[in-house]
Amino acid sequence: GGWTDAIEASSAKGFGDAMLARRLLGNARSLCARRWMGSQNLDMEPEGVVEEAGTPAVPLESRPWSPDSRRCGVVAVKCGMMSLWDKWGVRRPITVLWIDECQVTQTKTEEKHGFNSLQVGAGSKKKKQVPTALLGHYAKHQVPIKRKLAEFQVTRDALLPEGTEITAAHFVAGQHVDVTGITIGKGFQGPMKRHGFKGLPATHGVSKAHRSHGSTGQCQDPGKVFKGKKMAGQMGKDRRTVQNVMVYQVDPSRNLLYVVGQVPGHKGNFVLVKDAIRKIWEGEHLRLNPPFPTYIPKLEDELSIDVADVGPDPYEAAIG
Amino acid sequence: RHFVDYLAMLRATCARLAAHLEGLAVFTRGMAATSGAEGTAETQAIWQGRHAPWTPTSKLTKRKHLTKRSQYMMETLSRELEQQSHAQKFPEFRAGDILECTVTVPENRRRTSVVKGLCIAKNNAGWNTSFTIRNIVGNIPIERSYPLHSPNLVDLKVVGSKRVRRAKLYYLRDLGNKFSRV
Repeated sequence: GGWTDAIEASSAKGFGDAMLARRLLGNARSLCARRWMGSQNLDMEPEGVVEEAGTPAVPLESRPWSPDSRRCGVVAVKCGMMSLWDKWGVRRPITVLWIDECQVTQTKTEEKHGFNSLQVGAGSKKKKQVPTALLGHYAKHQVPIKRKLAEFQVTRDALLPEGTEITAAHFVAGQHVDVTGITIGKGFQGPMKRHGFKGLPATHGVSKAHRSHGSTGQCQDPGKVFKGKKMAGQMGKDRRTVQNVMVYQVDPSRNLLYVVGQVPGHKGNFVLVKDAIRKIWEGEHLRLNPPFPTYIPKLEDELSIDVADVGPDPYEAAIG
Repeated sequence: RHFVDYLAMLRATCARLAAHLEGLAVFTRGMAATSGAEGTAETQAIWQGRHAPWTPTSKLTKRKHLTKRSQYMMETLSRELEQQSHAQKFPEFRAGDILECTVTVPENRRRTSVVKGLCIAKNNAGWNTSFTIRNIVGNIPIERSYPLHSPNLVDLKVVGSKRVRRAKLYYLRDLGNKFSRV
């Protein structure tokens, strides 16, 4: 009893309506609702953001990179593939990723949560499509309703305040990224497709086992089939990361990223894009200098399409 | 009574018109809200008064599934690239036409050369449109395929045509050299 009122009180508080919040609080009657309210730190201050005890405010400002910095990633939509020719006439397969209003929905800090991370959300949903608990979450952090949430662990210097929008200008053309997505589901598949087994011969007396996996182990010793033995089963529809995908082109006015090669998942699905960790180990971020902790827009900025520097003419090198 | 009915009909039409105009206003509001993403007048003609495909979802009143919107996005990007391509000035051609293509060969220090042959296939795929030319060079049949929008394809001229009743002339591979010589 009174749970929805308690959530609405939090929402009202989040939107600055202290009077409404105070009235709704009185309606929460059940013990668990009251206990939850007690943990919410709903001080009835009329203005200003209430900071939880021990959480410092996170300012939004540019900072320099440090060698072990890790900054936030982005939630993007895989739109499809096309090809582009670079300035030397080399044709590159491109995947188009669209960033649909990716905003920081929650900042998690070491003091309160034990680690530093940023929860980001992208897309949009109508209020009626969202469960009440999620509505409360968005209201508490004062961000619009998002379709997809994801969390990225970052270093202390890369924290961003809630509500910060992360756009395509967060990335620099020429850098590498790791792209994570749910792969295309192939259903229940046999070992030849699933694990690349060779199967059995087509003729020479093989009876009804041409595509089977054959033997599953040894004899009396060990006398069992080892766990993790490759067999038939569900293939695809699992989370995979493609590493070191080069960002060929960045279109900041349309929030589009053009990356080279393939990316897991179907068109229209969400993928997570973050700086390639192996390239950070090589120091690429210090060389290319993407905006840290994110791109902070200024009024006088005129952003144009950024195309990667693809190096010297490969044909000239081949001829010698 | 007829006059009253007529008034009612007029009122209903006005209401529908007002609703339609309001709907249009919402769409234009959505388009104006995109910052610097409107493109040229040519580009806007691609989406013909609807919202631009990269409009944030929160600014749309009617939202289609992301799979459909991705399709819309890719088609718009492809058509925009086609519009800006140098291949726009090439003439229309089809299988059966005799083409003279000026190509630069990157492996040969980007020297331009002229390739002549009978077009045996044209694959219409927007930005990825390609075609195949077949000719007999020194008694050897040679087939070459080119993407239409490749920067290495400098010029394309139609210098003749043959009467054919197929879209793809792969049957020429089974016939003698004299049928493919141009």
